Amino acid sequence: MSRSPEDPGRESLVPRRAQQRLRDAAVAAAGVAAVAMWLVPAAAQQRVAHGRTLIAAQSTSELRDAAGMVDSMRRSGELRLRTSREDVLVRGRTHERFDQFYRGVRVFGGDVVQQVNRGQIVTLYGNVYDNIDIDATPVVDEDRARQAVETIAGVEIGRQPELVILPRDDGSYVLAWRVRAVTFTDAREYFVDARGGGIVFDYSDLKTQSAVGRGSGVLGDEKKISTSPTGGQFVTTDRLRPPSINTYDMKGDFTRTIRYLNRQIQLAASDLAVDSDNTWTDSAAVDAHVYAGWTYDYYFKRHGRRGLDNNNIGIISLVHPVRRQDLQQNFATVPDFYLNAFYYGDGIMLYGEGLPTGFTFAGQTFDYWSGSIDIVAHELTHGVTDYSSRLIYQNESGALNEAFSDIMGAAVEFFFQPAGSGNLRADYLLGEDTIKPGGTRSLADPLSYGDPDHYSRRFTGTVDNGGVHTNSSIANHAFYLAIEGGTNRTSGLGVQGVGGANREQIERVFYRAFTQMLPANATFSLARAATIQAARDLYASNNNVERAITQAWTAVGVN
Amino acid sequence: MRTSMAALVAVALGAAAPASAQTWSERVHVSVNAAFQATTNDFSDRFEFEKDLETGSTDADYRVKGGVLFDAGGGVRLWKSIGAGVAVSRFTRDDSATTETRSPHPFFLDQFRTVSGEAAGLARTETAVHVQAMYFLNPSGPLRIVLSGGPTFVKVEQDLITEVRLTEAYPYDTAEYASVQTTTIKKSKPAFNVGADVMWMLTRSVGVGGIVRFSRASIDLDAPGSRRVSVDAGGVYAGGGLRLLF
Repeated sequence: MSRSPEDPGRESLVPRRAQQRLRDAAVAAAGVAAVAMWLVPAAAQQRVAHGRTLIAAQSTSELRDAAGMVDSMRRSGELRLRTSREDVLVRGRTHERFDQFYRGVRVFGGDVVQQVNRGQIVTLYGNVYDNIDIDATPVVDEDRARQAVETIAGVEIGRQPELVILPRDDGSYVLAWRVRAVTFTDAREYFVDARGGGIVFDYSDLKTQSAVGRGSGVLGDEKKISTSPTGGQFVTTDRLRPPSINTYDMKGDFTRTIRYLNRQIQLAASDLAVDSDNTWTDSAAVDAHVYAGWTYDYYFKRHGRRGLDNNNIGIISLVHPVRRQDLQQNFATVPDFYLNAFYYGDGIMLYGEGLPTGFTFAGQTFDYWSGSIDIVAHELTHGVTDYSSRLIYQNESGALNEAFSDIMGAAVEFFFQPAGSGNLRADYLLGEDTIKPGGTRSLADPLSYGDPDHYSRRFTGTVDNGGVHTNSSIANHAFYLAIEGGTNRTSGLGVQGVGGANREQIERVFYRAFTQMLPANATFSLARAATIQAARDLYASNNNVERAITQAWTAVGVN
Repeated sequence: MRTSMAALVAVALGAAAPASAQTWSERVHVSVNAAFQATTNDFSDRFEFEKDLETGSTDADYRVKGGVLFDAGGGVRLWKSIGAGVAVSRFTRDDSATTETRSPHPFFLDQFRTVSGEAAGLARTETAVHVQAMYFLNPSGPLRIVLSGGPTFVKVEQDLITEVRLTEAYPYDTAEYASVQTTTIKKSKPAFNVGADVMWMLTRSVGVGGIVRFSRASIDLDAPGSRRVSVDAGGVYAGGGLRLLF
């Protein structure tokens, strides 16, 4: 959580007690730095449902049976050659693709593809429909079908509709006009009943689609994860939110990670975290990706902000910068990649790997850093600060920078989790879900973590950029008191908070003051003035908010 | 339904009471009617769907109000006042359904968005073939009465909602109803009919008449997703039109 002159682009969440031991090594390290159509293995032909037969012939007997059927269909005109292409990889082989027809009309989705080696069929795959018994003469003409789709899609269509037999899930068939409509947001295939005129089926044919997967988080909790299908797999690219949100799996290659952070290399699509069936088990990637999205959601819903720069800059999360099993050989070089999380600027986040089971550091266990939603929100909020007040990362302005990240981290946690204690419960501890016991800081009781709860106790040395991680607790505690109320342990002054049910009032006040009113070299005193003014701006008719803010700052000794 | 039928039979028998009258001299009669089906046949449906790893659901309440119906038929007097005939009726109406959809949130588990909407233009067609035993009455002069009853074969075609399309945008906490996807389900079922046709002959062969008929069926439509949707078809309809006797 410091921005030092030696390390200008990195803001971290290192525990205060561990920070001093890690700092030098961390700074030094950073400075160095086809889809198979059908798969039916057991039989050459398998009737799967409702008149649909899959063909997957490979053995000699299977090929003989399937080829007989295909040959019969070819001779009767039910299968017609669509393409015949030479195999450019295996000499002598040809790939022939046939479409299924019924009374001269193509059956949508009915086709067979065979691989031929000098006249001998090598493989034969396909999908054919039988028991089709419908009138293949359209009543609705193609112009009417096109107009029907134009009305729905809101675009003019010049493309010629295609008359097809459309197999339905219930085993029936419909004679339909297939019409493709491309809009600004979609490319959709519509099927218009050629005898009735209604839309009987449609689907999006936009190839870069989003997908919703299921993932298991660091704490074993199930959640939805917004991913994208590609090449028969799913990757951590979120296409459902306005900004590009990508999560990369660095696969334990810390050298490559550092080279990327120093912009010496670019990451490719192949670096994205990947899963074969969209049921994700890489918990670090799941939580980094999901919580990045949730943090974006919080800022959008609570504050109307569109991402870190308020202009939907992309969010990049890096996970697995090292491997836990390499701890002993790597720790001296890149301790931060185990025991910290960072915001590196330009929307790039890195989450430490944590420690292997059985290992502790300063008496605490560390799980994947992305597993705490408040840590993710904390790091992303450094980006918000970078694109707004640009609070200088040293002394009081640096402490305010850290405090704003802690405050928003807690706010995001309360936004998505029920209040309480324990895993996945919202409280005023930072990182408590993955750093056990207790997390790294407390907004409610800073003294219990060795941090000042009053301006008179502030750290005045030069370590930690003038105590940015230490003195942040003064503003953190003011935020806490303004919501929950209570008595400051040092001053003994009481605060009448707005109450947890009204926490959004204090969140909005701090957000407004810290993103729109504070200058880069702000002081605690300026933060007090700005938040009081923000309370007046936002809640002119509600004195409770201004009173709570004023009392809170006074209680922590900031006047 | 039983009350309605009993009332209808009572009316028919009441009309038959003064049947001290003559039998018909004509063998064949034809009737063409425009009628109004008074019965509403509202029904409900519920289906589930998978979206974003969770199961969403849609409840749809369909309105099927009464409306205009066309009826045509004829009969043959076979022996004295006893005869047989057949009539065909067809009821077509576009109606609407209100929907309430619970759609999973793409980002969060167990956080559903509830979206209400109204789908219009859902077609209901009921085609019925009424096979009838007939009793012919000629109470006086130009007044003729035909009492009828027998089996009915009803075919229902109903547009069912198979998907509610929603418009949603970041942050996806709410969604808007956009449109529905429908499919037409058809099913036939035997039922029964009972009715009366009162004619006033203007000439020897041409007259006008009024008809009241009751036929009713409960049908389980086989909807997509292996679910069954129970609908009622038919009811009481009454109307009038042209009568021809031969």
